[in-house]
Amino acid sequence: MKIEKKLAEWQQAGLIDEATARRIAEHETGHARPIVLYAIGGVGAVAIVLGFVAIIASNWAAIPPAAKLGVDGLVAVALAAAILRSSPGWLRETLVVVNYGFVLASMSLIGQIYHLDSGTWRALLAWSVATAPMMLIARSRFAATLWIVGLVTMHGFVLVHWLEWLDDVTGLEEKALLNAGIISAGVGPLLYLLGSRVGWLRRERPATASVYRAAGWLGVAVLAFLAATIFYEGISDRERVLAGPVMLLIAFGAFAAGLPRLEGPLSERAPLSPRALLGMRVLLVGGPALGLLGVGFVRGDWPVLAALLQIACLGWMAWTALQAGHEGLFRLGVAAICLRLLGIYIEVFGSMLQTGLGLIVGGMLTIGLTWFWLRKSRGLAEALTEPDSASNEAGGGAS
Amino acid sequence: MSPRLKQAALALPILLLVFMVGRAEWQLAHSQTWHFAIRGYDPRDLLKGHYMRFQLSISPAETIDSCSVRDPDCCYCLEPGEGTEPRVAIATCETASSTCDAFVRTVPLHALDRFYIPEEGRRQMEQTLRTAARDDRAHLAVAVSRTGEPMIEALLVGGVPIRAAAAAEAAEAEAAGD
Repeated sequence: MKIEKKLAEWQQAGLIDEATARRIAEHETGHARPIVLYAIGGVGAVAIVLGFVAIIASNWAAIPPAAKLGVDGLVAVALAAAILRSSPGWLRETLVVVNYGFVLASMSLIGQIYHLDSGTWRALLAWSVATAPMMLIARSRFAATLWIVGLVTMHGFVLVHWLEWLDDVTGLEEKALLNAGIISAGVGPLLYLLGSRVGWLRRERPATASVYRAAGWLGVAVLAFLAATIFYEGISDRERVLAGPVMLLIAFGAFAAGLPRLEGPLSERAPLSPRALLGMRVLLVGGPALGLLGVGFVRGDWPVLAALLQIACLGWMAWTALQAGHEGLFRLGVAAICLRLLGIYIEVFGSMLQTGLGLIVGGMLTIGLTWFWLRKSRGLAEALTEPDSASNEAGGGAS
Repeated sequence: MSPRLKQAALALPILLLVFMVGRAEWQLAHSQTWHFAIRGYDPRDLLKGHYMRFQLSISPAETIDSCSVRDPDCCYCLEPGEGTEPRVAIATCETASSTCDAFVRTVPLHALDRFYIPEEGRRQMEQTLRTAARDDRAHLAVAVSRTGEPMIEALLVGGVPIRAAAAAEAAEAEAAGD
């Protein structure tokens, strides 16, 4: 076990005595989560859900529709009863996840039997609404992650339908449609971040609140990266829009202003440092600001600027992650920068010879960066966080 | 979460499934069936399984109020025709609901473009549909509610459900082979 190895190291270094090491080991054993059980349960649940879908997709002909619906109903009731009777733990989590997938598979079965085809967005919306209270029974990060994946998928389909509806039915002019699209798609991450702040969720389902928060910040990061990507294309007078990006900037700006209140108490770790707060605020406002600069003015295509902005975005995300104490995210950010650099090499060179040379140089650069990352990232992390820790000690933290 | 809330949370998805089945059954029971000619081809849906894809082949005899099939406010006015297919005119749904015996909304009707079939024997069914569509013997039986909402009832080849027609064709081919 990792903790036992660490305890032995600390004991050997004279940092803790034997009694303390034993007490820590006992505490950790008592609070350990059955990760293997959750993992096996999760894999089993996903396999069962895929099995339901495959059986329904085969549209087995020998069984009459009424019997199919009857069996489906019985399984649905049995699953609900099993969840109700089970006590909190990996079994209940697994059953909830199975039922989450089973409801979608059952909707597909009914759609298949009655040849219903009322649109994927509508089916996903009905599924998400009907299963949301059930998913709140679950407490694990695994169930919450699957739930958020379902919600984000539904969100995407509903958004596309909403924009199609605006285009087809309301007959909005092109610019108004673009503004509506920017606002509708842009506020999504804020909804997840606000969702993570619901008091009951934070108190009773901290893992779910944490997954909502992670999804929200992932959305903010994706938005900033996409905003940088806009500069690859030129903007004509017909495509130029201002109202949508400005409104999005105001919404994100208001969120950034209220960040210490909104974000601080949620952190399970230490309070947010001033640098982490600065990083998150810049990330929040930077995306919409880049978007405004990208689509608000008539200009040509600026691919070099776009690539540099993308790398700057990734660098800023990595730095912010480090300041917020997420070393894993920092490493991910550095890896993303390496990949982007490799991409730029491929974009820059045109012919086979040049592409080949570009790939060799890009590969060498990546290996070099990986070496640097492995050798220096720990030291870099310490160097980047050190002064801030000192300021924290002096100032007593930010939030 | 209290036990009652938990019960309600678990009952909600079941109620949704019951509602879907009930709504579909109610619509089938309170509708009039009309047959429309189709032209077809055949892909599959990863989630729901194999289906035959087709297009309804409807030629309105008359156009009232300068309507088009893509306009959500337009309807087909349906009257019994000489053969299996109805005589069709296109008008606004307002006109159609006040002047026609039966009417169906054009947009949801033309959105009916797939029919789910079993994995087993699908090749034979696809072949049967292809041949029948070429010979104008393939029809979609559509249940149309009083409010003009359409719902697929059956896929017919020569007046019989496609599974039966495909099975008969397969048996005939086998007999000819013997």
